[in-house]
Amino acid sequence: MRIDPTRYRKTFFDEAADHLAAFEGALLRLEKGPHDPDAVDEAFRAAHSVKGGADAVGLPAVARFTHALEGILAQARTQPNPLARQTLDLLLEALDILGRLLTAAKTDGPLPAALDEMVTRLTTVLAPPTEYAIRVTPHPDALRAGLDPIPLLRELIGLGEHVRTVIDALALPSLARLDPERCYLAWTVYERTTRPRTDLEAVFAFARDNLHVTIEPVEAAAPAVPVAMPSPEVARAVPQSTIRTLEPPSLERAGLIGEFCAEASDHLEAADRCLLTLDADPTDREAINAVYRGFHTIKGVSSMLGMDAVRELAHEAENLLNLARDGKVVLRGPVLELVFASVDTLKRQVEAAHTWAVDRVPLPPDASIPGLLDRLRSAASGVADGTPTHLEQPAASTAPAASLIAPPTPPGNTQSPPPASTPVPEVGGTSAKARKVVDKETVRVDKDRLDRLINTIGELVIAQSMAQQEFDQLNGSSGVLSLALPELSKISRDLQELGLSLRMVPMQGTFQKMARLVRDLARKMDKPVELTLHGEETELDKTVVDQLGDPLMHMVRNAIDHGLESPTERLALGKPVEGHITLRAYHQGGSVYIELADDGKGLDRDRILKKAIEKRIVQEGQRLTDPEIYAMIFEAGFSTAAAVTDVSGRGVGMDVVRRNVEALQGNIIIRTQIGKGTTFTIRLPLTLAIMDGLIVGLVGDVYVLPLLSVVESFRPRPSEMHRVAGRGEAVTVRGEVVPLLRLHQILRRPSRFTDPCHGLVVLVEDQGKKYALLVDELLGQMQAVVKSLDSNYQRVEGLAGATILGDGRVAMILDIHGLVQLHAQFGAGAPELVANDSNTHFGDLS
Amino acid sequence: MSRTDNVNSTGLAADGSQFLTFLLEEEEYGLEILRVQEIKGYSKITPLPNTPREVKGVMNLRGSVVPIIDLRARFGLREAEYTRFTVIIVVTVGTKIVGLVVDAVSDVLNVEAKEMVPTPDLGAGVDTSFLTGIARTGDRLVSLLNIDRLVGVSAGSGPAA
Repeated sequence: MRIDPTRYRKTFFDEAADHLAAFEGALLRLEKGPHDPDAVDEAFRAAHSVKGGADAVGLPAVARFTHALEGILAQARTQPNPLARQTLDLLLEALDILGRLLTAAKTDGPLPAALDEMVTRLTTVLAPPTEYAIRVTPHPDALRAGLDPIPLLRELIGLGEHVRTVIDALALPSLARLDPERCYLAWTVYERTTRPRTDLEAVFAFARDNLHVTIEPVEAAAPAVPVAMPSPEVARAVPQSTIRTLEPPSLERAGLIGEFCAEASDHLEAADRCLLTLDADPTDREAINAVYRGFHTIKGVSSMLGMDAVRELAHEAENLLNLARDGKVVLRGPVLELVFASVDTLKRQVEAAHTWAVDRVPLPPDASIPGLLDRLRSAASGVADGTPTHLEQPAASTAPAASLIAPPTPPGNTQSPPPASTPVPEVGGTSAKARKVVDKETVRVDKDRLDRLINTIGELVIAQSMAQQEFDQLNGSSGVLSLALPELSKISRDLQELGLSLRMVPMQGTFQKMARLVRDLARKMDKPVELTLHGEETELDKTVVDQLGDPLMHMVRNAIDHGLESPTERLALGKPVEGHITLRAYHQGGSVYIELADDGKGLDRDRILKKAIEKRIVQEGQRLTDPEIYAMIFEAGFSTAAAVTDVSGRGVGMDVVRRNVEALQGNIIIRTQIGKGTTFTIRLPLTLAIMDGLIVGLVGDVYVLPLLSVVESFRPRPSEMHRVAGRGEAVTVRGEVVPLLRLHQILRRPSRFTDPCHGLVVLVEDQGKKYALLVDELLGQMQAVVKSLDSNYQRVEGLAGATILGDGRVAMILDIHGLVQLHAQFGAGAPELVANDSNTHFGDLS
Repeated sequence: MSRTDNVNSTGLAADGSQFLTFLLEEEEYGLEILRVQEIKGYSKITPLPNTPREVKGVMNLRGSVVPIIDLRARFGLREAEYTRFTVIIVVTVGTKIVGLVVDAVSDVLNVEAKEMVPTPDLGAGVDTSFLTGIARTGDRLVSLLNIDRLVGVSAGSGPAA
């Protein structure tokens, strides 16, 4: 065996990725300002490097493909005119295919399906192909001379579109006189190609002595139309057969599909964002292009993965967008709805595809796809019918292949381009404004790895503080100072901060979903709503952001359905017809605040109170503060809504809101003013991985209280202690009566003090209510790295998790809500529980 | 997954395997050696409130919080004082890591398939569900534990009310 070139493949792939990025960058620059010879050069160099590299490491498919790419750019370099819009689109598309081709080559996967088609399109885009008749007559002694004409003919055929080959066997003698080593045959190859004639001649460059070649153009042949025409039929024939349930994918494929799903969701999210822009301004070309590109990419990848339903839908949506791009369709009203619906359906299908790949179950197509396809098609064709001036366009509208290559206007000779390319300079103008926010370069990292990194950093911090403690113990009295340890401490803390920042993501995605929700709900309920977003860039731990979508959604629904009055009511009240909702996120003092404000009717204090008494949540005559009353709307099943709509029944979702927010160690504050509106403020910790905690002690045990829920700590005077008949113990704090919870009792652990007047009481808050927690002592504050108990065991009631102290011991993090519930279960139990067997053997030893 | 491949219908490893044996009140028990992650001396354990009696608490194992289960308590035996010979066997149960407190670790035992017998029915009073079988080598009798069932059951039960 010869030296295996595949060893160098890894390097090649790494380099190719860089080249691809450069290529893409250059294309995007060209899109903004077509007069940029440097960008063309850069793209050419990138394609050329990939081609050379691919050749060297034995990847002929890649080499062939990049050769075609390079061809276009090489020609563009020699021409003074800018690249046509279609050519750029084609190049971008080709670039995507090249990316997939490289992935396929890397993983030994199947080659992208669109490969050959793309090569053909690349070769046809430059100039209308010419049909040549190439007559090849080998010398009778050619075979003896070692020349085999067949490979040459194959190469020739590969240069373009093969029309037909005619064999000239006139010279063939009768069998008796046949000399098998002589060549009697001659061929005439009819080939349609965009290549210059010299390329055809070059095929035979080394065989000149042994064969005679004549190359002549065939005049009568029609130019590109036959190339493009077959595709509409194909595209039309496909829909009936392609939408079917897919079998579970193979393992290698599942990986690719997973990647695709992640990518597709990003695209769809971006599309959603742009559609909202379009909703406000249907002429925003930048947004149209972005949506178009999203559909386009999804179409390409899904077709490679054989996900026909997705491909079909993306394809039709892309067509519609293409018409919008050309100004033949305006994206507003039902047409925009249709695009929104397509994005939604694609989202669902992509989500299903994720399950398809991960759980390896069959993938049924989304039920709404066929109907949606019909609507998309009729929307596209209706437009074409209505504008008879573009008589050729119906074909183009159903087949993007055709619309992209036909009419094949070579960049060189169109000085007065069709309407499609007139707005180009304008695009350059708006894009400069729209792209002010420069995309930072990012790396996709496996979440597990990130979590492991953060965990390991956490361990490092603990190990560092253990080292510090050991050092202090050893040198305690000698006064020796370490230079390295403080340095280590600083570095590990920096590292920890950095590690946590890796998981921070902006709220933007969540906000955008809300924007979409507001838009949809406003339509559904005929309440015009204007949504203002602030602070979308506010960053929050990904785990927190992921769990925030649900509660926010319920809150937004509530705000629109119940918070805002109907337009007629608003008019009567002298308010603007359009309701206003503001969603705002900001950082303040180590927490993140998310605020949802509406300018609706506000919460009716008396009505809530009445309802609460009706539902026996509170007793009549019980004195409640306003926040306590407003907090009632979070009770399960609590609804003051006169009519329950299908959107929300005030309270159904609100208990979910509070539960979710509290699971995230956050809380909600309500401010409201009758007739003016309501503001919900969610306060959340920046991250769930680290928590500021107050360390409290019970004899030998150490517990951590989330600092967020601690109000204050104090030692009550005997006069402040009360026994409320049948309702347990209570402490008076500045006139407020707060129930007393004995931590040792709830946890069944020993304690030093059973008299609150000797121990210490920590005032904590849960769901808007205050509780006094009796502990032995306060030990300090810490930044606790939160470890879950269910990773190796299970959730334990009353505990939010565990953390590791500076000395390596494990300490439990208390869950106030759980403690309150445990307390309620036991009632104000007998103090006898304290001694109960809790002094275990472990306790003895430690 | 190769582990399940060579387990036949009786639940015994068909071609024999290695077991770590330990003592619990003079009785010898065996754990599949591939499930044993490490053996640790007794170290500080933080009690977990409101959990079953056999769950002694959690331990810091290089940054992981690992529950510690006392096998004496699990088997309903009289609980012993912990001494410096008390040993914690750290095992893997699925994706979880659990520490088991035993009296002492004794041996690594090669058990051939023919030396294994299914668990005999010991009457209604004795729960044998967490045994995979009994190994008889020479005059020794070693009860082979089904670790998943043993720990899974206790991990699945709710906190003691």
